Amino acid sequence: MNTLHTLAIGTAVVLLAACGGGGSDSGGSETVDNSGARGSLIYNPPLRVTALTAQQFTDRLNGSTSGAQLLQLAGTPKCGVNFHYIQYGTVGGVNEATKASGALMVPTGTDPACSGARPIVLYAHGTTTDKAYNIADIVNTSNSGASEGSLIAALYAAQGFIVVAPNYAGYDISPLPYHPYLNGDQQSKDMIDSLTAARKALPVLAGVSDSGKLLVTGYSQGGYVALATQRALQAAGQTVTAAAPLSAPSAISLLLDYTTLGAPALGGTVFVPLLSTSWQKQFGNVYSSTSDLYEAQYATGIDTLLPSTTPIATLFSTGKLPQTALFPANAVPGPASPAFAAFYGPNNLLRQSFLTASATDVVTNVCPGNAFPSTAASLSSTTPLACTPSTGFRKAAVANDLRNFVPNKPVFFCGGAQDPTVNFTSTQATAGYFKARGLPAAALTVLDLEAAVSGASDPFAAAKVGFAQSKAATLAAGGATAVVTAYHGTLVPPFCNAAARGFFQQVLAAGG
Amino acid sequence: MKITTSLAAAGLLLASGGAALAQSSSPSFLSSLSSPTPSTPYTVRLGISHIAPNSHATDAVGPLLPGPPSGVSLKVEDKTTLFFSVARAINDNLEVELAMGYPPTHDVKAQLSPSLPANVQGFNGQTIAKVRQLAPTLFLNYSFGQPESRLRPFVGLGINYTNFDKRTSTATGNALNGGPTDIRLSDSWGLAAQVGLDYKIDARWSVHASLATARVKTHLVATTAGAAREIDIRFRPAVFTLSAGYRF
Repeated sequence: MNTLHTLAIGTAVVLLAACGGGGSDSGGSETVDNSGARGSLIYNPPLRVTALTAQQFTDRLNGSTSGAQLLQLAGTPKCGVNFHYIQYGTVGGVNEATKASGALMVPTGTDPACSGARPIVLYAHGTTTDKAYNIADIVNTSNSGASEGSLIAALYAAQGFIVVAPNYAGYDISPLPYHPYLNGDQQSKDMIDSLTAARKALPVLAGVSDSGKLLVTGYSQGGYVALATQRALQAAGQTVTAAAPLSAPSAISLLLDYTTLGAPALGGTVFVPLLSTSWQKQFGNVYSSTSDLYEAQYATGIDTLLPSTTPIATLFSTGKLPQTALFPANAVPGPASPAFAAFYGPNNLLRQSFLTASATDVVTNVCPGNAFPSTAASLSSTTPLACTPSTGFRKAAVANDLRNFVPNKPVFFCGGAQDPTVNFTSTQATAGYFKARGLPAAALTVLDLEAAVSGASDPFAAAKVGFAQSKAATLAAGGATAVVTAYHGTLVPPFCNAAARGFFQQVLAAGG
Repeated sequence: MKITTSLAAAGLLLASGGAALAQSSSPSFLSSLSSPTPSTPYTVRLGISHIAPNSHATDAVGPLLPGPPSGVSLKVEDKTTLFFSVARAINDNLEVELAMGYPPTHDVKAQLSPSLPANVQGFNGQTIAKVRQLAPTLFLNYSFGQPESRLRPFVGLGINYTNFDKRTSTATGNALNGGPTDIRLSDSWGLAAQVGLDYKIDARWSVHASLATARVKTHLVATTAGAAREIDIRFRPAVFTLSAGYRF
């Protein structure tokens, strides 16, 4: 047996030696950058999630009712789209190194509009509680990022725009244990880092190149982030061709003062925990204990609750968060009108003591741009944030409010005047401030989807009419409650996004 | 070129194996070769194997896939290769056999669910990877009949070790996976069995036919730009071998 053993080993060794090298051949070259530096592209070329020709994309959209509606709005794809998944180095809320992921959508095809030097759309997504949100994962329709990814792919990539869309630090593969929600400094850095990383991939991916035109847009939270990014790029002396903040909480201190004074936002029980966690990280003085803000039943763990891998409906149904009750039933101040009654009730999230402190501060340390209700003067103040709040939460809100710069490139605001989630006054106040500070009318467009078509030459007539039809259909099917529920997340986004594309195309055509 | 190398290797093996034997056995290996009847209980077999892996793979799981289930799976294709084994008789009916072969490189083809979109369907049935395996198997064979019988059926039970030592992602595989892809497969240990017939030509030469199988399981990880997709593969291979045996 000993001899056989020797023989066996001999055989194995000789046969192995005869066969040449083993190992893995990946069939291509890939650069891995684990430096963690801001804007580093970790895998280059980045993963291509899927590749659709223009026809395949059209067929795919036609395969669902919502897709067919989107197709009508966005137009038939001219270009195929390669969907790439990027991972990049960025920073957290206090400049701690981290990484994040996102999408890079590259137009393909033979149409002249789909190759060569193309403009880049840098897109910022809206609020999500889903930690697994991945806007690049359009093959998995159960991913919460898939529909937003399809929307911007159809609107932009399929029409010849390169699209860069980060998932943000704190989401998907990002190891950051929180999300720097509405931290204007961090969120703009995250956007710029995703753009820097994506630009590193473009020379490696054949077909298109960066034309140098940069269009920054986003919806809801993303509208805020888009405007913050325009501010940061402008401050750094980098090119921004135009920006389109949509349904943006850009006047965030105004929105929080309104919440305090009796007009909370639909979704407030989600927004406030995201904000308190983010701003506590950013400044450290929002609370000394979460129970300064939150009722005992929520205080423990609220600072790590969101974003979550648990669906938001489950967080509501299991009592981790109340669905609407932000303040107690007998809160002082109470609801500004019966329309806001739903935000006051049992099992409320925030303590009366926090509300009292906030309300006292709002009326004591008045921010000139935050008058409730708004006035012509408050909406045209050149110093909307000339106030010195005393509470940590209000200080953070004022510090992250975007009414503190003036764009030097065209800005397009869009929203709906009845928005129950992001009060349209935020848009009016931000645009009003820009105008008051001298942004020329030619560079400032505000579209209220609720406004009547102004005439035959109204460039946004189609968006207004389409929105009105969509809203009427929702009302007919589900009543007024359905309209309120669908307003911010479903009814407005397609029309504002489509209008933003029209605005961008106009700016580009004018040589912007 | 590779087969030539392998044959040379087999020759080298005979020499080195012989040298090892020469030390422990008497009379010497060389003198045994010139003897009309075998003086040692060793048989070497050289032949051809046809390997039908009969792979059953799970749907891929991992980031940025449809589903679950993803509908993305694979199939390992058949391959014919050079067979080589060394056996040592224990008594008139039992032998221990170490079976191996020139490591075959199998094509791996994409197996995609019809529910996947058209742009992915195009990859169905295409070769996405090539995988080389080393699968030495140690059998204990029992031969029926007498040593003098011309035709002896046999059965064998043994242990198989499979190592996938060389993996290559094809351009098609990279297009499906979304970029250059590193493929790794875990080693497998499992039971093996064979049945066959041995036809004795003379005291030294015989013709040997066998049908062998083994339990082979492996875990495949395909990593593309940091995204690791995983598939479990179970093989129930049917390996048909025809070889010439030489006893010395």
